[in-house]
Amino acid sequence: MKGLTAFAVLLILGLVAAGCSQQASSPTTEPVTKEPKRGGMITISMPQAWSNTDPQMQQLPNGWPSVAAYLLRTHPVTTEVVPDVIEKWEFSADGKELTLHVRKGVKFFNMPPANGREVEAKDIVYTLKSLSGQLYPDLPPVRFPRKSAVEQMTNAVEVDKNTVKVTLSTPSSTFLQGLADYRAAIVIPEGIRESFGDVQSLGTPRVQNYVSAGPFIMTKLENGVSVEYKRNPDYWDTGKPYLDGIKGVWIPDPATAIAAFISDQTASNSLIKPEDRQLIFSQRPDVKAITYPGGGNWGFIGFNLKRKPWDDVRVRKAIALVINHAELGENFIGNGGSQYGDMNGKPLWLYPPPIPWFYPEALPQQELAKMPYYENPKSEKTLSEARKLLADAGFPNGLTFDLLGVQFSALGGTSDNVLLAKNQIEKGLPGSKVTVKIVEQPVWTTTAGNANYDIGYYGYIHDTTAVSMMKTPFHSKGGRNVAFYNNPRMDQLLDQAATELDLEKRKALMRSAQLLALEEFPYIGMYAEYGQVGVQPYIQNWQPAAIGDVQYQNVWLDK
Amino acid sequence: MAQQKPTAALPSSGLGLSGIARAQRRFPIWLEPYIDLVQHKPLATFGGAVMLIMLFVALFADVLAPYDPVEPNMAARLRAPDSSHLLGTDQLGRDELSRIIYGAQISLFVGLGAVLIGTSGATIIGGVSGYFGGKVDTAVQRVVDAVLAMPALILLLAIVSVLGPSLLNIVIALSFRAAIGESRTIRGAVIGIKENQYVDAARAIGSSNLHILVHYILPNVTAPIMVLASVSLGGAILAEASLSFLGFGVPPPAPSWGGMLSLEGRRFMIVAPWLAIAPGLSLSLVVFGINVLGDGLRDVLDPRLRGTRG
Amino acid sequence: MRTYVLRRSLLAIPTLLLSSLLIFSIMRVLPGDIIYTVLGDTLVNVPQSEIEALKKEVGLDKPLYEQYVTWIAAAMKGDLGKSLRYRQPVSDMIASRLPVTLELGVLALLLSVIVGIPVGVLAALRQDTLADYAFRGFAIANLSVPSFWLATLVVVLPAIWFRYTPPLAYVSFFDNPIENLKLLIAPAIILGLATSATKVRMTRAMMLEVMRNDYIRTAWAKGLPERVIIYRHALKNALIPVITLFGLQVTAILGGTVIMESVFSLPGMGRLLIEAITYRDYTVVQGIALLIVVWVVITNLLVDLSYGFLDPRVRFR
Repeated sequence: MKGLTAFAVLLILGLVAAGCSQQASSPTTEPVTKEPKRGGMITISMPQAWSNTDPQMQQLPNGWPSVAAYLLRTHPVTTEVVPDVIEKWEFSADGKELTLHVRKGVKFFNMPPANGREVEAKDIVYTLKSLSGQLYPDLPPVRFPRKSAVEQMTNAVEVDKNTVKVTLSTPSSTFLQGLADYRAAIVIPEGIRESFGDVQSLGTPRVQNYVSAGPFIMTKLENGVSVEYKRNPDYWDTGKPYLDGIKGVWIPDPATAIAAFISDQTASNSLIKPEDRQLIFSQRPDVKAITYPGGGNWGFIGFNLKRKPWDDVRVRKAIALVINHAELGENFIGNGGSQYGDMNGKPLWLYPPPIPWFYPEALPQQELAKMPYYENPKSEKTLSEARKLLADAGFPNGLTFDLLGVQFSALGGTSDNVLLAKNQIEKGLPGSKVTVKIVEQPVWTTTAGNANYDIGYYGYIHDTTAVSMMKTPFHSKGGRNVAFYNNPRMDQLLDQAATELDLEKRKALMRSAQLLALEEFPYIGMYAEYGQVGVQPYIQNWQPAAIGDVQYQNVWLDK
Repeated sequence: MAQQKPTAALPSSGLGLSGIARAQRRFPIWLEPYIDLVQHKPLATFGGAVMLIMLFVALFADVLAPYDPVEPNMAARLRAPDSSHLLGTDQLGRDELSRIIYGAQISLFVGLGAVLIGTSGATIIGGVSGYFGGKVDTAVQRVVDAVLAMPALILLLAIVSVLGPSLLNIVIALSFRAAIGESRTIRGAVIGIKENQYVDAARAIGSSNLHILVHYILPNVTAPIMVLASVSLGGAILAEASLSFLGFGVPPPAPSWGGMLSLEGRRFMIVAPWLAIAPGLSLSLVVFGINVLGDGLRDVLDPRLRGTRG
Repeated sequence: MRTYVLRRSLLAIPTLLLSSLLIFSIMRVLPGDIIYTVLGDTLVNVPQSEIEALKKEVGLDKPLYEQYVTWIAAAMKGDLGKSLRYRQPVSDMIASRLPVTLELGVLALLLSVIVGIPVGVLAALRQDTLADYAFRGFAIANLSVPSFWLATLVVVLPAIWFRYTPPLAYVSFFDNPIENLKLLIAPAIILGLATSATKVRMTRAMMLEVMRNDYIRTAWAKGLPERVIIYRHALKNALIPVITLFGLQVTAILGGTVIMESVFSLPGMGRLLIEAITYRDYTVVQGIALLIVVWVVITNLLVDLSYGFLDPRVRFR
């Protein structure tokens, strides 16, 4: 009996230890029911070549996720901040000082200029100051796309080899998430740019630039063609990664990408479009469907408030009332099928709050469902209210305008959403005539940047926090405020939320801000969705993130 | 090998009539090549029939189409062909048959627009360049060479991008390229005609250049023009399809066959194949028809080849 | 002869300059700015000073004519500048992509000749018979189906039926010729067949014309075998216009590779060009376009000069 008890205690201790070490290392959400197997390679397909691969100057992750050790990471499901290279952190009482503790034993790759040495505080300082752009005052600030995430940082100093002290101008609810930005919070060796001769040297895609301390090391790169990574034998999270390596190929044509996935040449494929799901599951019913909070873009219709009649809130509200989000979602996103586990038969689309739905601060679905804007089908009451609003604004016979849409890529990308929206507006506001104009991406950015449009249908990639996601379009100084919306009350709410560290209080502020957005409608969120991806059946632990990329060090192959 | 029947001194019409009987023509002389076509060239006649059907469909689209081609109807989306939708519906519930019918209008507009404007332009450019020769010719040909050095698809892409994708702008782009591209052939033909004695004679009696161009040169380049027009018509329709594939075609919701094939057709290729088969067949059939018709026309209109059949 | 060569060669120069001007102007007239593409999501509330600084960085702050002159002067020395989007030297990018496009183009051209000319000859010999219609019908059918469509079928259907797709990662011919050809054979066939139709027609038409001639009838009467007549007498003369076509087809094929490279994921110049146009990467588009133009002008020049050798009348025009 004693032996058995001892055994049980040891077993429990062992499990607890395993659970704890699980937490300290990279987060996963699938319970580990099987023992991960080491070995094997996967091939990932990508649509678009990498441009400007400097981690703190890039717009997209551009090949870094497999290679990078991050300051901090975002949990793929809860979006909480979890440790990576920074093992522990503390805020001072007034919230204006942040102490970061660097994990010991994290080694850079054996490549110049780091040559296998350990990550130290000076590297963290270099990374932080690159993130904010403070290190390079001669470059235009706009070159540092993530600087707004860390804009409160006034200084970062090395206290000792493993400690960094950051000083902030105000307390910030978003600063830590800025240190977990999967696009920019990539730890690089101090002075790496300068050692290559030029502050812009990391921008050119080449293997020598990808120096960090992550689970894989890049071995070959031909931008736009193919890329190869191999396991980092000295990765600090011992035991990982399980994969021997990763291959990436660029496949510009979505039809070709699906064909490659069906014939088991690539590891994963998006399942967001119902027709893709139908095709893939009819050919490969064994494919695993994974849903996750996320879904890529926040899509919306934006009004140009600098132009008449879009400055009249009645006009905007009228349009918002007749847009049927459920119809868009049902038809273009649809329901989960049998491969979707407990999402079988359930809608994969959601009502779009003014910020992506998976943030804790987002207005809950039940509350949105009750609003007339999200009604389905639209009641006569809602429709007549919309018409009345429009008539009061001076348009009893409907509106005539151009609706701009963006063609997101030369191949692929659909305008179906825009066409359905046009149809909904014309039916809901009789007499209206909407002309859809699809333009290329550079045309849209120039047009929007110059306020040269009436209404546009666009989308943004998710940002790391709810506050920043709302600030950039809704704040009068926001970088994505293509509506040119200027409401001091909104600015005030968002500025307060940015410094409010208490989650409940922040939620209250954000709630007011979102309700204000649903009163004024500078933008109409179009629909929201669960992220969906299909993977080959033998792939385990593939967890896409709401904000970020799959953490490939957790992936293993059951074959 | 085809045997040569003895022909009389007059130019042969290919009908094989001997000298005396030719004085009593059953048809006006300009119609004869086309009668010849129908009688002797089944493939080309098939092509001609396809073209006529397409013309008919395009002209009477409003009457023939059972539904509105652009109005979404989400309740009826992605239906396979059935009694209410003979060719099925697409992802926005639009009737595919109606879209094909209106697509004929668009393809015809694109094709004919490019051909009419383009071939006219080519005639002017080639005519002027070939007729006046010398410095004018050298200068014009340099510009022509410069434009032709660029692959057509890329030039079209650039022009459509600059002007913005729309039906009219695509016609402009295609016409421009056709005008430059075809001008060379016309120039060659004009140079050939220019050498003839009757042109010298006309000049000698004091005819103006314009008079010569219109009355002597132009009638004699009609044959190569017709051939060029037929070739470029098919090419224009296909070019629009390629532009759609790259994202620069006639923008949605306009039902251009090229757009339907390259966008919906590819997306739903396996899941809803009718969305690919309908525009694909229409496109291929029409282009095929244009090409065989053009071949046949060339055979009957080109005097050099007329005596080569039995 | 020498004057002819000199004159034709000199005429190529204004053509090249005009082309370069055309290329440059098109890029500058395209709506939408590379600057905004660089800015990415941050579209508004960007201080004008920052936009000016970005423009200066990529050399877009200078007046247009100065930009043109700088570009063309450098290009003549072989420096095509740096990609605005990828920050790599344009010549490097082209050098890595060019072999693929060239190989595809050459294979397609070869196939179109191997298929086109014999089919054209046969069609001429069996004129107006079922065989003639079949051959011509086949040739025109190839021309009538959009190439992107055939390419899609070739990629998707084998995946559905046999779980097979062509290998994804490009392998150079020198590394592994078998794998390389496996990748390129399908697009080359599609492209080659599509462009063979014009050769079929042209060959057939020229053969018919040539065969009518007296000297052919004489050879026939003399009892020479058909094969000798075709090869020694008819074909040689019939081929002169076909050679012209060959030159023109180089441009057509370069356009066709764009689509094939996109569907078959080939890392060629065509794909690079499309992406560069989409993202307004001026320097890359200019560099590639200039290269194509130079290539085409030189090819045409060589074709013209070969006429001078083949046809004495031309020299004295």
